[in-house]
Amino acid sequence: MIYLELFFVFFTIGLFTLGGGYAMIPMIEEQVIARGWITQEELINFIGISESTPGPFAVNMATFIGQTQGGVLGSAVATLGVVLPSFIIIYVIARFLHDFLKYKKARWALDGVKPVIVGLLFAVVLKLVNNNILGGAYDFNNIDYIGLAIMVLMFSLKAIYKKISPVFLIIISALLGLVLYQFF
Amino acid sequence: MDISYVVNLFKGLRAGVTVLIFHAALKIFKKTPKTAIAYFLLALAFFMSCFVEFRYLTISLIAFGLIVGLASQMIKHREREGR
Repeated sequence: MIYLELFFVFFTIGLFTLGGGYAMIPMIEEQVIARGWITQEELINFIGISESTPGPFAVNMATFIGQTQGGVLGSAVATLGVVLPSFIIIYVIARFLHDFLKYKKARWALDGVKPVIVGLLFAVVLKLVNNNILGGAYDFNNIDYIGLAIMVLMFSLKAIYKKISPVFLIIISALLGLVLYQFF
Repeated sequence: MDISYVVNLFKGLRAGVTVLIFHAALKIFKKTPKTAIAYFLLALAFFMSCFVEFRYLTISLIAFGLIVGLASQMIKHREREGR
């Protein structure tokens, strides 16, 4: 039964992830964290690890959660589930609909999804800031200034050096965390 | 090994990942059409995600965005053709 559930959950995530890898984070929050398969903290840790290792985030995530819930078969089923929708959709597009985005209606529909994805991602960021900087209760008397400083620094780095690699950014922020939290 | 090192490492990592997600959102926002409907969909998704607990909320919002995006442009297109 867990295999069927893993397949269904990751198939749904794969089907509705429009707008790149990070766009799947709200879906994972809703489908995976709500089921208690991982915590939000583990999810964010895993995004960091996944960005620093080979392979797309979606596949890595599915394999990881599948493994924790159903061993080798679980990871295979979850990975199949997450890649199958894009395989089917891209196959159909490649086979029958050349220049998919030239179809006005497809472009119009996708233009409606983009702001939704942005809104969902901003909500994820707000939750992460609350959990990691404000102690999970919007407590402005108990701000984690070190975490905030790392965020501001990383944001500035990303704004100045637009082409900076996410791997580099993650490594720098992890090292800063290691040093700053140890000594302050 | 002292576990506090690992905890601190991951605290820093989470701060970095938050920034990456924020940048991903900004990147998509730049490609989003700047229309009243787009801002409405953005605000709706943000507030619903913050305040509503429902397992299929994200899917529903994405489906809603697809329908609204398509419908609004079709209406605009028809209005333009009608003139």
